[in-house]
Amino acid sequence: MGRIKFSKLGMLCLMGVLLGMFGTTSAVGAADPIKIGFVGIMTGPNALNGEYCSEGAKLAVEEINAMGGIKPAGEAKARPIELIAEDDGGTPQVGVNAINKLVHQHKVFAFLGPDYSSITFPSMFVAQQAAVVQITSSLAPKITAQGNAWIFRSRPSDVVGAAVIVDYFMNELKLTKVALSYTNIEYGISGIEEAEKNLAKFNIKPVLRVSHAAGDRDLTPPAAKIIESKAEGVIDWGLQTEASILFRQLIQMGYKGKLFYSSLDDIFIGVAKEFSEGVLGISNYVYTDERPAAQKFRKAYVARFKKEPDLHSGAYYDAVYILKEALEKAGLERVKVKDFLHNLKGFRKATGVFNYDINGDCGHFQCVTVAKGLKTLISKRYGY
Amino acid sequence: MFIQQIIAGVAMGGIYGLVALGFTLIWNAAAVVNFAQGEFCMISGFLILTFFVNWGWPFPMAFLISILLSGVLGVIVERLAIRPIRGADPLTAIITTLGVSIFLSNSAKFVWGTHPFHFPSVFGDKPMQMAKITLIPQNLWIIGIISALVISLYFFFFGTLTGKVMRAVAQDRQTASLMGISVNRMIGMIFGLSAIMGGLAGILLAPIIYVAADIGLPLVLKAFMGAVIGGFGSLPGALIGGVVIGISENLSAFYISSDYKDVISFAVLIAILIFKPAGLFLRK
Repeated sequence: MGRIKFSKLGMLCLMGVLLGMFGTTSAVGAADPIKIGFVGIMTGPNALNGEYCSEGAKLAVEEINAMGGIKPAGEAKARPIELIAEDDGGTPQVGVNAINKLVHQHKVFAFLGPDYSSITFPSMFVAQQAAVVQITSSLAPKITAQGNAWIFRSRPSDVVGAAVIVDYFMNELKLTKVALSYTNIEYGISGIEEAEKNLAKFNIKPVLRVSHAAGDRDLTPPAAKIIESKAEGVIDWGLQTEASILFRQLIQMGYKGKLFYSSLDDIFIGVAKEFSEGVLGISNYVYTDERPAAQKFRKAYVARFKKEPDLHSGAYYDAVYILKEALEKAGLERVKVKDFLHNLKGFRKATGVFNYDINGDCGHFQCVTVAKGLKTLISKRYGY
Repeated sequence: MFIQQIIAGVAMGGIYGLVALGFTLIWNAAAVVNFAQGEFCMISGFLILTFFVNWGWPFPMAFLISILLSGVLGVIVERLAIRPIRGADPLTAIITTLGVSIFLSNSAKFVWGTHPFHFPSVFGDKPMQMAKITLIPQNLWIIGIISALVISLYFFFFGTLTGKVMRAVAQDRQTASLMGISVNRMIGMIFGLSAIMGGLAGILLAPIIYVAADIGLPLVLKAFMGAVIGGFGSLPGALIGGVVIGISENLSAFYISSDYKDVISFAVLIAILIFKPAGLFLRK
């Protein structure tokens, strides 16, 4: 009796395994998803950043899958996208592990992110060694200056941003005494160096260059130094919370000059509140942008997530569509996708016009923005 | 600018000192290094944000209830996490309080989210000019409130029966117990009082550094340094040590660089310990 029971149980198990195998096999044949990875900040104090990034990517994936998926060149059938997300925790150590997981464990075709330059720069060797396309929203100029053929941007680097804001300071505002402030991280350091290079083109030497550490919450000393320098304007490059504290303390100490912040977005405005009024910024996307493609994205995002998109959501939304374009035109060979992207010109999407070059930079579209009434408005467009 | 930096340093240092005071009270009473002290600041910040900003309660009411709830939290932490391990290895106590810190920080993230929240300045934003010195109202209020608290604590500990009993427990738990004092109840009250001090620090800090779930541990590290500089176990030492840290941070950030302010603060700590190994206010 026991032997019969075991045999029946054994047969049932075997049948289940076989069904599973055949079921899986038949699913692979029919609609094997294209795995696209996403790495961003899902936990930690800056998780709101990762939320915006991942939502932009998710929206694009859902739209594309609703339309039937992607039909890669040379394939008979369209395939859905499977978005696989990993958390970089906002730190390089966790970021490298997350990217390794995407590339070697999940074996994604390509991946998006990270956003923080301080994570992208030390970890981009992973994608390079594995020959996997990486589309990052990081802004530090040196990311695309390392000869890495596998890295691409989804927004213009700080080379463009710094040129734009210095041009605006000099030609629109006619300022000559400028103080530079930055968060002592890769993004802050490289951004402020670009700003300084651009000021030198106008023969302007900054009256002050002052830094603060990431996580610093008392910025009275740098604020006092800025006031003492009698600068007519401040260019700050770094993290949102630190920038909002610095500007608040400057205003509380009576500073009346122009304030510019490199990442003027809803996160900054949400923290700075009334102290964001009149602050200038640069952005390749704001939700008040009236271009039809920008408004179409905005409507879809608001309907899906019940809040306004920010520049990070736009960057990742467009990144997914850029990959779609590459897959549809170049097929499922990574080398061909990489080569296609290096030659992609005039690709218009929600945030702007993408013109890729051999380094992986995506073009020169940038706006000078201004915070008014807790919203970001466009003051001047460049490169659209 | 020098005077301005000193005033700002005294204000920030006063907050470190307040946290260090609570820290030291607990050490004296229960021989526990409470690494969760900073989380009392964090939680009270979120409480007053909820009551005053989100629910629109009048500030005095929101302030009082936030402070009281912080005290209740302190009592609960003592009862559930500290009392069971009292008398255990010091490492056990450290790990336990670190665990409480992580638990409270992550609970706050779960309830309120991970990003920082703006908190309006209830003391006004308009700076005042005195000679060539720009005075920020928030800093003056911080110095005033902490001074008033210190004076109140002095009268409490030396002028009231409960305060004297707390001092007795802090001095010698065993003898206090033999004298009929309920040591457990007193230690619970001391935790409550320390949490109230931490809560006050959190509310004073909220308009300056915003309300966020990750402010606790960095605060407690600065407070720990202040307590060590002042002499671990000395109440006046804890406060003065915190102020020393605040001033050295501000002056080093202004005259040298913000990048080195932690380095210089630790250098000040090491220098003081070389000449006064027990801290400024304790004899070896």
